[in-house]
Amino acid sequence: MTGPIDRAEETALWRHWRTAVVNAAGEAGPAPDPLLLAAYAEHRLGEAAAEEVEAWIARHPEAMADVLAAGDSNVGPTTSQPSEAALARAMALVSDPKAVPFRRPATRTPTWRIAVARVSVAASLLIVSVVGFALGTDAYTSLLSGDQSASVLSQDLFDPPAGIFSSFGEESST
Amino acid sequence: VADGIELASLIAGEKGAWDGFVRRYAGLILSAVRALVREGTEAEDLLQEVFVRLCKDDFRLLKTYDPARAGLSTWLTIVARSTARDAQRRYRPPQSALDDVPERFLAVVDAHSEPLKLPKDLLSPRQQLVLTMLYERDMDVAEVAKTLDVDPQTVRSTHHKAMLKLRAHFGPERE
Repeated sequence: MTGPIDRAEETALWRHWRTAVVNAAGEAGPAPDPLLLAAYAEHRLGEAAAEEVEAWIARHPEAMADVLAAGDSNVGPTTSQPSEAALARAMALVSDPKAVPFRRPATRTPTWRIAVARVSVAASLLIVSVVGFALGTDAYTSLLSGDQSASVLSQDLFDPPAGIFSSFGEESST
Repeated sequence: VADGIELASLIAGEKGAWDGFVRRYAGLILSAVRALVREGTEAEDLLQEVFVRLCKDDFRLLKTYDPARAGLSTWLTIVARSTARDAQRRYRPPQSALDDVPERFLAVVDAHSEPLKLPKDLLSPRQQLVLTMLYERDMDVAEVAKTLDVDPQTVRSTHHKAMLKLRAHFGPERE
């Protein structure tokens, strides 16, 4: 097309133009819709629509790479293979509405079982009380009807010795 | 139906259709984003981000796809690369080549200089695009012709006319 010197000169001219355009107009408008860019990549746009896209791409040279990549996406198989974990993560974004989430079944205890449990506790307390009372009464009776030591002991229980005061009294009387 | 995918089922949120869609296009999307980011988890994170974008707000983006206007693979590649660029802008500090930064932001402002007066539409969008491809992406004429789906001679002619206009405009200024 052109020689090396011409090319350098032409490149300089182009850059000069681009800088001037950026200076004059500031930021370009919003990016075209992805569908519009895709249609452009497949050469499906009419002249007017294509011109609009081209004007935007001229201001955003990096978008040209996207258009080229999109145009090549239908050619040949893809070489990248995502990991199974990445696939599972992406699939999990949509859940199956028919799937019933695992939930522990609600355990509703029947009334009769609650009643049985309460009666059991009450009966246990009653039995413990009765047995304890019976054991205590037996011990008391055996102490009363026992030998001498037992009677002394029982006497002490009801009529304890005066202790230190009684000994004072004995000493003072002598 | 687009590329064998039941779009209606997909948009309706059917789990089977979604799983089939993910299995079929995950490789394509990963290839598209890998060209822009590092290998490994970053690419797979972007893959997930693309799928999130597609199904977000009750498949709002996916519903905009129209099989009559473009192929699903082409559209998905554009969406994937756009998502990757958005992510790059979000996570990385903005960087630009020195040549891309207007001189007024770099140099001391010359109080006597006047802004360049550019005739509106000096170059047509097609001419700008051809020059962008040739001088910024270093593509050759054949590649440009293939990309634009035109004859190589048309590219040469477009380039020639554009250069004439630029020389005519900047010539007196540079002399």
